[in-house]
Amino acid sequence: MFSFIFSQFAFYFSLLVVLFWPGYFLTRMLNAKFGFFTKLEETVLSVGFSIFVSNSLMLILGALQISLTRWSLLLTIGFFSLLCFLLEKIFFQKKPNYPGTDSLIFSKKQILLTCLILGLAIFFRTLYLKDSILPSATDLGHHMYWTNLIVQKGEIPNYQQKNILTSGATYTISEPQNISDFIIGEHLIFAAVALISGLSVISYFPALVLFIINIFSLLAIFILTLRLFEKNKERVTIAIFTLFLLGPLFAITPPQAKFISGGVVGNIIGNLLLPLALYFFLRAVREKNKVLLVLALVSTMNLFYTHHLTAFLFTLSLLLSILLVLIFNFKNALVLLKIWSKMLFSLPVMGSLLLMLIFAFTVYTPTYITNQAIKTVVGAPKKIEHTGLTLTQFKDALGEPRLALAVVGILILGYLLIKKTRSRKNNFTYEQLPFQLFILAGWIGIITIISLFPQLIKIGIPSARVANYGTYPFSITASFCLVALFFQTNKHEKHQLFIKAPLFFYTLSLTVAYLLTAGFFDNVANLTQTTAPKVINQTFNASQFLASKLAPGDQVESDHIYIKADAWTKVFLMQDYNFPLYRANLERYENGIDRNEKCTLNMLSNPSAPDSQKCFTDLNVNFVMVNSKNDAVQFQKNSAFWQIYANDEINIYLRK
Amino acid sequence: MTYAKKVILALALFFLGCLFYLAYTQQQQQDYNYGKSWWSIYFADPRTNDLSFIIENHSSEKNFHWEISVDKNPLSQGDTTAGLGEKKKITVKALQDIAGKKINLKISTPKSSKEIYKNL
Repeated sequence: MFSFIFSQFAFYFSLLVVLFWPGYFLTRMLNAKFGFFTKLEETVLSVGFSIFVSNSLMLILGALQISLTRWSLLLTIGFFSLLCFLLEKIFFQKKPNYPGTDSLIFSKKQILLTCLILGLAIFFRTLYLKDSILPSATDLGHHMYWTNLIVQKGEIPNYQQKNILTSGATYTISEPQNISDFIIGEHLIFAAVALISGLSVISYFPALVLFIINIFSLLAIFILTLRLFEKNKERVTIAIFTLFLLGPLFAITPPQAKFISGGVVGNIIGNLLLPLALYFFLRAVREKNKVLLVLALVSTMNLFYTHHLTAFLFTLSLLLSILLVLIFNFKNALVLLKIWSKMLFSLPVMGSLLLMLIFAFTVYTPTYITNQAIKTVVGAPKKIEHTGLTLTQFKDALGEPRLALAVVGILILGYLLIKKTRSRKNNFTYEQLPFQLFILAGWIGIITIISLFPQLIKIGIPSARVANYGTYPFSITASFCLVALFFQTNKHEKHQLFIKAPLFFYTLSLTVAYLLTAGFFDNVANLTQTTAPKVINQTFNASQFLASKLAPGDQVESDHIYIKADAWTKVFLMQDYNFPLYRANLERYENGIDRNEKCTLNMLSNPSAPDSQKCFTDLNVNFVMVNSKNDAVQFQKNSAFWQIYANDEINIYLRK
Repeated sequence: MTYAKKVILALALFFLGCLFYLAYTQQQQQDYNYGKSWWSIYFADPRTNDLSFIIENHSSEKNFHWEISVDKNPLSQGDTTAGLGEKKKITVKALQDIAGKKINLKISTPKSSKEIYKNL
């Protein structure tokens, strides 16, 4: 128990150092100079900026060939934080008055309601995670391999793996080849926490870090919603409804708790960084502020160093938003471009862009750029999962009530957009432009198009994954719809609601009942039993046995179909990302894209066949790890294999 | 302390409590011995002809019976005990005239049994 308590202290200390302090001191310094942010914004931005600062400092250390250790990290992050603190105290003592920060004040009831909603959001996630907190998910296993590599070697990893090559009738293991599936920002913060706290990657900390980031992503959406509807009297109500639709309702389905335990690291971090990037762009454009534009670019860079899919969707959303602004203000497009150009071609913005380019080309270039991975997503969708969802699948991904309300919300917003555009036809003022509507339209538009009709823009990315990103903008729009229908008052503060008494009570009750039933039913439906810990324990035990018996040159074959938590075997062995070799899901051998070899399939399914024997010999596969109930028989029949390990779930065979 | 601070502090403490609970639960789940009922067997030296083996016990079972057979003919047997979390090594003396034969090790408890073997 004592060691557990100590590990907890070490864990929270490392969290403060990696995920809070550097961003907090940076934000406080910025706030002391410019006064941009409220206390709530300061807190949420601290996490986003901390990810940026920790990642950047680690990459710089890596580029300088300085080993990543507990002390090198503590010193650099500590020095950065101290520098920001001193700059704030010495140079920026007087807090300036910046317009817009005072309007985001909450009443006591609103504070209580917000905290209760967040408490419920935390509660439902905890309820699910308690049965799935033991590391077992495939994605998390993959990510923790790279994290562990950083921890063990103390350097920035090369994302490479060895593959099976077929030349004529001979099979060989290739030299390490570049892979583009991973981005450095997905692993650095975990490595930093592991190094500082001393915790193993096979522990509670990866899931808890994701849990914390997930909760902060809800807060990021909260502050974004407040800023989107800054000029709306009901901004706080809209933000609270958004939090309600995202936090406690549908708390488990992707991209929420299931992505936390599933270790969908890029998505979880991306869902924090994307709203923050939008937040800064919205404010920079609306307030015509160069410093905010610099912060928007920093947030975008943060996103590009963390998750390519999120960054890609963000870029497309932003481009569509800009396009919509220009189309809806066609007559004044030149004026708009002039204003934006003035901001863009200013010293702080161009200087920052230059620094970012220098960083990208001298310190670290993301793997998807060096490997030209962008080519793989551009073009007509090839895989079945990339060809678009049906409307029913889209509805399931977003949650029925959220989608239903959002559709009504989109209609109301569309009406408002057209109304505002017409009213400004002969009276153009930049300050009156409804940027929030364009940003929402661009965000929702891109996600809808790629989820439902990816062929239209020739992009091949997983449609269901993209649809999951829709939960955020659709929830904001659904909340706007709720407020517009039930709580919006007129300009003169009189309660002239869209839906009036006596219908008000019944419709509101029905809508809330519909939301609660659908959202909580979904939570309950997803609280099903996950894989029992003892099953995962046995995979870990078999992996530990293998790790202790392997000799140099030995190759191992495992199975992804029947062995639970098989992806974690590689974290125990730490030989290569593609070690052990494994039999993948069968469709991967059939789609002609994922698997171009059959050795990994045949060696398990039919080990006695001549071709399988050749695979064993050519690849030097000496150990085979299989599920004892599904795949033991074919090995027990073959006298060339010794059964050297057995537990309730797994047998290990040695090829003689 | 203001009302807002009190409410936010309560939320932060609740969140910390949840994190602590999850961490503690995970520790227990990862502990091979905490509330678990499984055991494994393996050869101490899998690559050679040595038949010594290890029983790794993570169950409430304590008594294990082992039996060695050569081409399905029982050769020797014995009983051993292994406590929770114990790795018990059973040393098997080198056998004569076993070339080309399948040496089977069957380990059983009153509830279950497992086998490992070498084809020498």
